[in-house]
This record gives sequence, C-alpha cells and structure tokens, in this order.
Amino acid sequence: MLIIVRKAGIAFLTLLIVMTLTFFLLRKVPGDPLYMWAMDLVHTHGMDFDSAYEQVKQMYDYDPHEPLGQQYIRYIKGLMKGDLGTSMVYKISTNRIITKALPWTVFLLSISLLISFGLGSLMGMVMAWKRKTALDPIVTAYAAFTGATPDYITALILLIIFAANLRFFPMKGAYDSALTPGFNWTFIKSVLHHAALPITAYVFESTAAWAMAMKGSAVSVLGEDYIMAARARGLKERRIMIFYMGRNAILPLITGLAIALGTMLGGATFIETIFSYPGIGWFFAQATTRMDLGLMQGLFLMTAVVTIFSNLVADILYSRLDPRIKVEE
Amino acid sequence: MSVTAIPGRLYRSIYEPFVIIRRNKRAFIGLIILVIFALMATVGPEVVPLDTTQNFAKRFQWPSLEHPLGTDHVGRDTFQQIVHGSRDVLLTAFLAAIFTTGVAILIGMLAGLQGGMVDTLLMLMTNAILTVPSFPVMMIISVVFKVRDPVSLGLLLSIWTWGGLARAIRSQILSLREREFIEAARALGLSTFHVVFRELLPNVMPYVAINFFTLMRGAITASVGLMFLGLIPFKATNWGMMLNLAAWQTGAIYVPKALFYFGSPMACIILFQLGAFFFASGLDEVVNPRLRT
Amino acid sequence: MIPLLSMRDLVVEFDLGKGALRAVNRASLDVQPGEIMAVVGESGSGKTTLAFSVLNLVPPPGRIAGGEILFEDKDVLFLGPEELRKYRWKEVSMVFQAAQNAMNPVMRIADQMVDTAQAHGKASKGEVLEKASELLGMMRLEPSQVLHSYPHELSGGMRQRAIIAISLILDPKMLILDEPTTALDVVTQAYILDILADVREKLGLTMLLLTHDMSIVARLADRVAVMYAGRSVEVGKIEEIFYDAKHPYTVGLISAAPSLIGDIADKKPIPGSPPNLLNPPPGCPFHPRCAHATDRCREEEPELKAIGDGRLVACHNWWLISGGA
Repeated sequence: MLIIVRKAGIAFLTLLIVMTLTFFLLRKVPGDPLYMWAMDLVHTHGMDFDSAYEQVKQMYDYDPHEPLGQQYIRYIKGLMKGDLGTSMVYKISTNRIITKALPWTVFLLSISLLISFGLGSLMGMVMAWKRKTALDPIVTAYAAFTGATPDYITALILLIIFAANLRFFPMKGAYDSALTPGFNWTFIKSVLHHAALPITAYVFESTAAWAMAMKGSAVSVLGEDYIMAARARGLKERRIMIFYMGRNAILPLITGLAIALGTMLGGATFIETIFSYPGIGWFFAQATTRMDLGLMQGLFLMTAVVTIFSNLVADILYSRLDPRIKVEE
Repeated sequence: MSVTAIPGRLYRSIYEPFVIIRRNKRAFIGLIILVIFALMATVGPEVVPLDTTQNFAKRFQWPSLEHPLGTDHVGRDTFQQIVHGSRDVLLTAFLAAIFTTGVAILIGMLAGLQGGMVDTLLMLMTNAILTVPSFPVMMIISVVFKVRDPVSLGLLLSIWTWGGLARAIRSQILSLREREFIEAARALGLSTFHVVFRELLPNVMPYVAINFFTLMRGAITASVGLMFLGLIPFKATNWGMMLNLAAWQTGAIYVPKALFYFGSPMACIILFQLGAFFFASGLDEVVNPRLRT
Repeated sequence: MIPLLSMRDLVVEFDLGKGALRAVNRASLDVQPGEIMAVVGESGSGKTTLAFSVLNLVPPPGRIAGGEILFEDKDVLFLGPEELRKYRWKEVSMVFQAAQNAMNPVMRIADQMVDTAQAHGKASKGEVLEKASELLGMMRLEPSQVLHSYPHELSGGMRQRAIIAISLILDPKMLILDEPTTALDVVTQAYILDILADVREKLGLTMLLLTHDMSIVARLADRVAVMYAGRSVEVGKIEEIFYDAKHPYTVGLISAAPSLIGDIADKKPIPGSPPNLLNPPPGCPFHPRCAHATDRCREEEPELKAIGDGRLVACHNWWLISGGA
C-alpha cells in the first residue's frame, strides 16, 4: 500500500513539474499573443482596438501585466478545477473541443491498438514456439523495416496509393460530411470507410514491434522449468503454447499495452493530420501551426495528465497481474 | 603487414571492430549506407550543383539521364535537392545526438556520483522527461522559439530526449562506483576529475556509442516530422520540407508522375534509418562479445 | 520376473560447438516392478539426463544417440508423438530436481491437476479434484488450502509435496524422483522420505530414485545402481552395495558418507575430481582416482559384467575389492 502511495506521489510531482514548465514556456512566446487576437476581433467585428483587447483579456483570462507569481497561482487553481483554457481559433473552451475530438481518437486508436497488439502477440507466440519457420525471418525483416520508417511516411504512402490515386478510400474526415450523425447503417458505413486507412496505417506500423516483444518474452519463458514439466506431463503442444508459455510471456507486454492505451488519449498526431481525422492529435497539430496558445496548452496538459496517470496505473496493474509479484511486495 | 604487427591498442579499437562488422553482413551493409550518406552530406553539395531555376514545362518528370530522380513541382532536379538537403538533415541529427549525449552524461554522472538530494531531484526531472511524450513538447517549443538553423534545431531535438540515456548512465555509474578500481584510484589520491574521465567514462562509452546512432535516428524522425507538419520552415531542399511541400502544397500526391519527387526523400529517410539500425546492432556485437556468432 | 523398465547401453550426447559431450555413456539397468531402485552418483554423473531419457525428454542440444529403453517391452525411444504423449505421466511420471519452478506460476494447483488429467482422456473436473484431494491428503497437505493456491503461495516443502501429488494423479506405474530432497531443510527431508515410503506401501508404486545422498538411499532403496562419468559401474541389492561393494568408486562413496555414529575424522573423501566429459581419459574413467588401478585399467574400458544373482560390476579387478560401511 505504501508503495502505491509513493508511486502516486512521484506521479503527482511529475505532473506539477510539467504544468510549471508549460506555464513558463507559453509565457515565453515572443510578442504579445493577445495583440494578434485582438486585431482579429477588430477586423471581424469592427470593434475598436482597446475594447477588443479588453475582451480578449477577459476571454483568455490573461493579463500580460499581471505579476508572474499571481498568474501562476491562478493557472494552477484553474487546472485543479479542470479548466483547460480556451481556444483562440475556435473561440470555445478546450474542454468542449476535447469532448468533440476525443471520441474519434478513442475510436480510431483503440481499434488499432487492439488489432496490432492481438495480431502481434499471436505472431510473436508462434515465432517463439516453432523455432524454424518462414514466419520468423519475414516478421523480423518486417519489424526492421517498420522500425526504420517513421509512421508519417507509412501513412503518407497509404494515403497516396489508396486515397489520392486509387480512390478506394476517402482523403479526409471521420465521416462523409454530407451525412448527419446517427445510428443508421449509412452513417456507420461511412465512419468505417473513413477509418479504414488510418487504422491500417497504425496497425501496419506497430504490429511488428508487438510481435518482436512477445517473441522475446516467450523465448525466455520457454527456458523455464515448468514448460518442460508440462511436456513431461503429456499436455498437448498447443495447450502448452497458449496457456503455459503464452499466459506467462504476455505479462510484461500488458504494461506496455496499458501505457499505450493511456497515451492513446493524446491522439496520433501524424496519422490524424495526414488523414485529416478530427481527433485530439489533429486539433493539437492545428493549434500549433495556427499559434492557438490556449488550445495548445490545454490539449498538451490533458495529454500529459493522462500519460502520467496511465503510467501509474500500468505500474500498479502489473504488480496485481503477476501473482508472484503480489507476494514479494 | 601481418595482424600481429599492429600495436595492441590500435588493434583493439579500430581493426578488430572493423573485422567484426565486416563479418556481420547486416552491419556491414549498414556501414556502407552510412558512409554513402556521410559522403553525400559532406562532399555532395560541393560536387553537385543546385539549379533553382523554375521551369513549369518540366514539372514532375520521371527519372532520366539528365534528372536521375526526376523533377519537382516547378521543374527543378530532385536529385540535386536531395543531395543538398542531406547536409542539413544529417548535421541536425548529428548535433542533436551530441547535445543529447552531453546532457545525459552530465546529468547521469552527477546523479550517480553525488547521490542524495541532487540525485533525487535529477531523477524526478528525468522521470518527467521520460513519462511525457517528447514529440508534443517539441511541437510546442518549435512554436515558442524561432528555430531556423541546424544548431538550434539540434538543441530543440535534444531537450526532451536525454532521459533514457541519463538513467542508463546513472545506473552504470552506481554499479561502477562500488567497484574496487574506483576505491583504489581514490585511495591513490587521484582527483575526482581523473576518476571521472579516465576510469568511469571509458566504461560507459561503448553503450553511449551504440545509443548515438539510435539518437540520430530519432532526431531525423522528429525533425522531419516537425517540418512535415509545417512547424519549422527550413530550406526547401531539406528532406522534411520536401515531404511537406509534396503532401500539402504542391498537389504532388495526386500526380502519379510525382512518385520520385515525394518518394526520394522517403526512401532516403528509410535507408538512413535502416543503415543506422544495422550498423548499431553490429556495434553491439563489438561491445558484447557474447553476441558474436 | 520381467523388469518394468529395462535400459541397455543408453548413450546421450550433447552437441556443443567444440565437440560432443557424452553425458550418458552406455548406461544399463533394470527396474523390477514394485521396487525402489536408487541411481547414485555425483553431480555431472549423468543421472538427470538418464531420467529425462526414460521420458524421451532430453532437451536440445542433447540427443539420444544409442541404446534402448524398454518399458513393458515397448521401446520408449521409438514411440510416435501421440503415443509418447500418452505414455508420459500415465505410465511413467517424474518429480524434477529443484522442482520449485515445475508448475505454471499463473495457474492454480487445481487447474494444473485438471489440465494434466484431461490431457490424457475425458475426466470430469469433479473426479479429478476428488482424486487430487485424496493424493494431497496422502502428502499430508490440506486439499482445500492447496488446491486453490498459486504455486508461489506454498512453502518450498509444500510445493514439493504438491508436485509429488500431481505426479501421481494418473496412477503411473513408475515414478522417477530426481533429488527429491535437495534444497529442503533436514526436517522437511525426513518428512518427505516418510511420505514416499508411505506411498510406496499404499500404492505399490515402482520408483526410480536419483540422488547423491547415501542416507536417502539407505532409507528407501531396495536396489542401487551406481553411475560414474555417465556409465553404470555397479548394480546390486542395497545390502550388497553397502556392505560388500565391488567397485572402487562405490567403496569410496560409502566410506565418504557421514553417519550419525562414528567419527567424521574416519571418513575419507575420494581423491581427485570428476573427469572432463568432453575429453575423457582412456580406459576406465575412474582410474585416475583409483587406488587399485593397474595398467589394464589405464588402457581398457571395463565392461559391465554380471557376477551372479543380479549383481553387475564394471571393474577389471572387482574380486579384489571388498568395501562397505
């Protein structure tokens, strides 16, 4: 129990460090960001500059003349309450943007993660069990290749071949913009159609890594006494592969899976950008290219919180999953 | 000249590793690839001219004798751009790896040698660096600070990436610290400086060397990624910028003929990554005799 | 009587890069039904490899290079994969050395029992658990507690007994025990030996007991086979081995074993060290350490000869030897 408290403490401190760094970082932006948005208001609403500036100051709760210490305290207080700031481009709160974007990200990435993890683990298990098959060199080579290729290149290639040129799949969006969201088959079909390429890109890129990790873990499990003992007991080969080797080999990977699931909430920046998929990653990329400091800060902090938290959970989860560690603690 | 004629130290540090790499096919191919790129980056821009005249009639041509990799959206030769871009790309990666390694060694050693409060604080920082994903951080920093040249880009790329190496160095230092030769050195009255640079550092170096290539690979992926998103405007010859232009601005992705224009930077990136990966695993064999077949 | 297990000239080699290591070099022995046969030898004498061979389970890079192992007249080494699978555990089961890690850490004991039983035919979970409880009781363990536990939740001694229980779940005809009491404290050791004697009586089980500890042999064995450098060097009834050994190595073993009575200063260790199995000396493998070695011993390897009444010795000068406790 004490260990959990300690780990949670470290997580919290890490979070504090990140929040502080973000705060100071964004205050360092050259020039006065409010100026830009105030001018924007002047042009679009025909206001005079001073009232525009006032309004912008109110909207973003940001006064460049306020003493830094005070700003920091208000910032932390706001974060505690869950206020992640306001988007300067979209003019709505970051939280609302998250509500709109998160479901798409979760949809896309959870399917991708589960497929690549499942497929990869299976491949790795078979690779370790049957030592000399054609599967091994093929998957190893495939792993080297996908390891060398950044995920944006894979996504780009898929986009170019299948969307831009062959036109099998759409180029952008989460669904056909002509349709209204609803629980009808046309809508669902459109969603699946639009998600197909991004999911393929992700799965293509990450499956090999899971396979190699599983293979490594399984090979070391194979050296354990209980595998030979299981054979001595006359158990069927397939049963040993899955329930004796597999179940033990997958334990270290579960930690990785938990972390990946957590990090997933930060969105897949590249895949979403290339396919113009309106998830968290896409919005974050937009925020950075368009200098939307409010949104940038809000989304980044959300990602950081979620990642730190999921690391903590994965850590604790692993010790629960492996019956051996439970006792040792 | 027979092998035995080569003096001992030289043999160990240069000849023997070379033989091991030579025997390992993958590592040797990796070495060749890296050498080619190194030549391209250093000598290339001097040897290959860069013709920036625009000629719309020649846009998106297939490779020919005149244009080995075809032309881009305004008729300029792709091959020339690749060669000229390689210098910036590789220089940036190299600098990023150096900066990262420097910071990691500093922090790792400080934490390992000092211990106590210093160690705890440094490890807390390292933990933060490791937990929070580095690319979003780099995106934010590229927005906040003006990054226009390889040096500042190299710095940016190393801010959030030293965590893993620092931790590894620290644990190496911790285990080495207790070993007898350190106590002996101390007992002999050798200064801390000596202990650090003549005893500890050489033990850590092999690991650092292998990691260097991994860092370079990461730096290339990250820098190209940042350019691709349009966050760091660099010269158009830079591979990342070529991808950016191809994907977003020139409609190259819709034109099958433009295959070589956007394909070349991709191929170069993939090739370099593979080369560095293979070579690094060869280096691993040099350092870990147990891995040798 | 027809022996239950009959091993003739077994050869097992390990393929190391620099040559082949003969872990078992023409070992022969017979095990009669209902008896406890002890196989005695130092570590590295090939006992464990021999045991694995009976189940045809020698792990690579080892392989069985010659000889035959007949179990009830069928050569185990020539069984097909399905037959082999059925033979394992149902006819012959084994308790491994240092069996602490012999059970799947993520499955409960009960499930592993059921797994084992169901791999050999249809059996309902209830039937298996009933039988398992019975066996655990025989092991003087509390079934309700043990069955629901994971392996690491049991103490070393409990785990060992649970492993013996699982080895009996299919009513095998023979049980091989490889150093069943190593890594256990003396009190637990005595406990387990009691249980084994009990089991033999209640179930009429044939046992092949591998050990280097002469006191266990004295407690349990009916007959003894002595191994040295992968060879059988002497086989005989327990009294014969203890009081009238005919091989110098056996004599050395008996003399070296400490006992409760007698002065430990009288105990003599065997001089020298075990041979290098990659490059064994010519002739008799024991000759460098043997006080009775002659020129013939240095050149000619002695055959395992029957010298009457089921007694086997592999020594040129056996009639000169007379040793014992």
